[in-house]
Amino acid sequence: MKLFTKPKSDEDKLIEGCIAGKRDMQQLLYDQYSKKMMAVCLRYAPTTFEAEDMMQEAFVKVFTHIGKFKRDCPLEYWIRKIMVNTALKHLRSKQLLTVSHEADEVNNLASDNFSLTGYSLDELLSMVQSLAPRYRMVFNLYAIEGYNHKEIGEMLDISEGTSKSQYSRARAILQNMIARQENNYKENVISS
Amino acid sequence: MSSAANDKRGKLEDEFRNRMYDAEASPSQQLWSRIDHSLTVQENGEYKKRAVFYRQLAAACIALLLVAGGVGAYYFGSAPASRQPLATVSPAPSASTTPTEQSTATNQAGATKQAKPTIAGTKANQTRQQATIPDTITAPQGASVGNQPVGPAAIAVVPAAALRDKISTNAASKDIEITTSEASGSKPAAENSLALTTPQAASPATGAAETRLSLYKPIRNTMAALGATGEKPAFNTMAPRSSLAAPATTESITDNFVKQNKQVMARAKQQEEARKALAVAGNEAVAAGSKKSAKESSAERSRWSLGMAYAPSYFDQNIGIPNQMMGASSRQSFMPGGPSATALSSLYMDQAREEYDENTDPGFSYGVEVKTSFRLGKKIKLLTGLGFLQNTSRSKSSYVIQQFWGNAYADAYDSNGPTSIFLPSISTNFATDSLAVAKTPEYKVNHRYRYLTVPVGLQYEGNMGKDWFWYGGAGVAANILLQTTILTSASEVTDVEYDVNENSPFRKLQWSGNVSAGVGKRLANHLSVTLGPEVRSYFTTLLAEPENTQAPQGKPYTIGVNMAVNYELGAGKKAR
Repeated sequence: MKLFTKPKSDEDKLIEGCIAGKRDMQQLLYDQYSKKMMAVCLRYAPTTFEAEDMMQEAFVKVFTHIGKFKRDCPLEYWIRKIMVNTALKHLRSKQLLTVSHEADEVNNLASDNFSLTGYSLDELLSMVQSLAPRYRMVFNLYAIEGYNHKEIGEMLDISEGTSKSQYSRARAILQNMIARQENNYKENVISS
Repeated sequence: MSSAANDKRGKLEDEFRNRMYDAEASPSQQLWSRIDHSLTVQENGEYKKRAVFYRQLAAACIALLLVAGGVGAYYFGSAPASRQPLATVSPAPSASTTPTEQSTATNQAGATKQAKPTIAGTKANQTRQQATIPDTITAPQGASVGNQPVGPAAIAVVPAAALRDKISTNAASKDIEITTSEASGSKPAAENSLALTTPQAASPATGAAETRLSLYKPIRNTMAALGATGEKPAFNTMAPRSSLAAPATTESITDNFVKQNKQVMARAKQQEEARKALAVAGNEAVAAGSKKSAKESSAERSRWSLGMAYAPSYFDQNIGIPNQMMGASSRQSFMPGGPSATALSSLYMDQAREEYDENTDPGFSYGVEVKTSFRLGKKIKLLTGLGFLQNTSRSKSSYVIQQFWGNAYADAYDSNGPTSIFLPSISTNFATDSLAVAKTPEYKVNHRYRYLTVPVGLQYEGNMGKDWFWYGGAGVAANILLQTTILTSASEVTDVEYDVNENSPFRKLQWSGNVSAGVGKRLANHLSVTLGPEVRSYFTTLLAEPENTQAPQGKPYTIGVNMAVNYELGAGKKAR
């Protein structure tokens, strides 16, 4: 027999309000997670406009299916997963996930001796956004979301090997970008 | 760098993850408004969807009620033109015989000495009976035994003594003559035909025999036609006139033309902006709606479908023969002596009973149904429709029985002609006066029941693969008995048929329950077939008054296979 019931947290109340379809609760949830999720969408989308499109679609899904949230993981993780899946679907619908041949020839790989502390978030985002859609997707999923290549292969309907190879190319492109920018910075400092 | 080596996370991955995983970016201010709008559109769509669902459910219920009501009105509302008694449904092929004919027949019997068994019933207070029975029976009272070269036609006619006593002495003599055909002596036994005369009652005044075929007067139900004459109430259709007063608008017109022009231009600009904003909002709504509708059309399936089912089955009518039917008895039974007509009749009755029990089998039956189904949920469907059932049971018999009813006051006799043992055994008429049992070559009897059925049921479906699915269903059905036919292969035995409006011993409205399960295959996007066993059990006995019938009865049932084709209405829409 249950003598004591666990008091409801604010998040529980928020979720219940959203399940009931209360618009004010939905807005509260949106306010709570919109900034983080916008950053997620920006990583997957090539432009801010498309990132907002993705986010709108993803949040509608969140509010539609929040009744299915089993609370076996943090709500933020669940919402993030919806954002990633929506981004994936978005890019797939636009056939942007076809194999790209950009930067196929990345021969001169830069070393791992670098730091990103000097880069702003916008700069980092623009670097990621400049990647070809499939590279960008694999890079985001592996490097930032933390999926392994097997999972990425299943998500993108490609083999594990393809995922690894595409990630290596994406990584090389980013390393070259960083190296190029560092060289430019050094040249500017010396010349000045 | 090899691709395989990249599975190990390096500094770049860590740096990017640290900087970007929990990063935040502000969306535009209008984003929430757009989400809010999308949610509103979606909620409205769901509301509409729900409204459509309830509308369709209501339509299904109304359609079902209309069908059931129509069938019920047709069945119960139509008054029968004439209710015929059991005997006159299919009159026995026996010919009424005049005294002249009788005497002729007797003379012929005497002259030719052929097997012409004649049993002459006497006046009620008389005990004299004459029975001429071939080979097998020696009638105790002056019954002449004819030389029967062919043999097997043996007849016993036994008047019920109790009833006889009540008949007045003035009653005319009743001769029941049962003869084999005249040619029977020269024909093989298999061709023996049996002719049973109907009981006759002679008028005491004239002494002429009068045959009365029908004991019961036809009952006619007359429906009083009520003319609905209603007068339309005279309503005062004069409506009060509302006076319309145009608002008095007065504008002061300034002379300053430039000022007025500016005002007009500003207003036009405002209107243009409002129109643009409306168009943008409209486009967004259309875009959101089109996304949703595309998704929905791919995910949704039509709720309505039409189906046709054919179900061959075996039917067990579950009607036995009573162990003790009306005993063949007469005053002769109480007299000492050798084998009598009564004894033989009883023996034949026992044999006929055993034969029925041994040879009654389920016959091939079938049902055809046209159903419409309404999808209540993802996997559950409500089915209803209209169908036709033909249940058949068959048996073999070597005996012919004729049952007589006597009316002492009207001094008339009635019979439904020679039948198999089945019909007398289910008779609810306790006033049977006498029974005649005769042995004949074996013949087949087919009991056929035709129903109009209105089924209602639920069906649950589950996927087994891409195209295959299983189903399980249960339901009830109102079965309206359209026709009952008892067909025999022997020409001597009368076929009996009861139509929908005729008075019959069978239940007119019978409820049944059915359970079925099986597998199905989707042949196309909107077409599927199913196959599976089906059991249908009736909730009541086949006879309308089981308590008044001596025959042991159970509830009939069918076991068969249900084959159905299902066509989904409005299916096949694909997302564009």
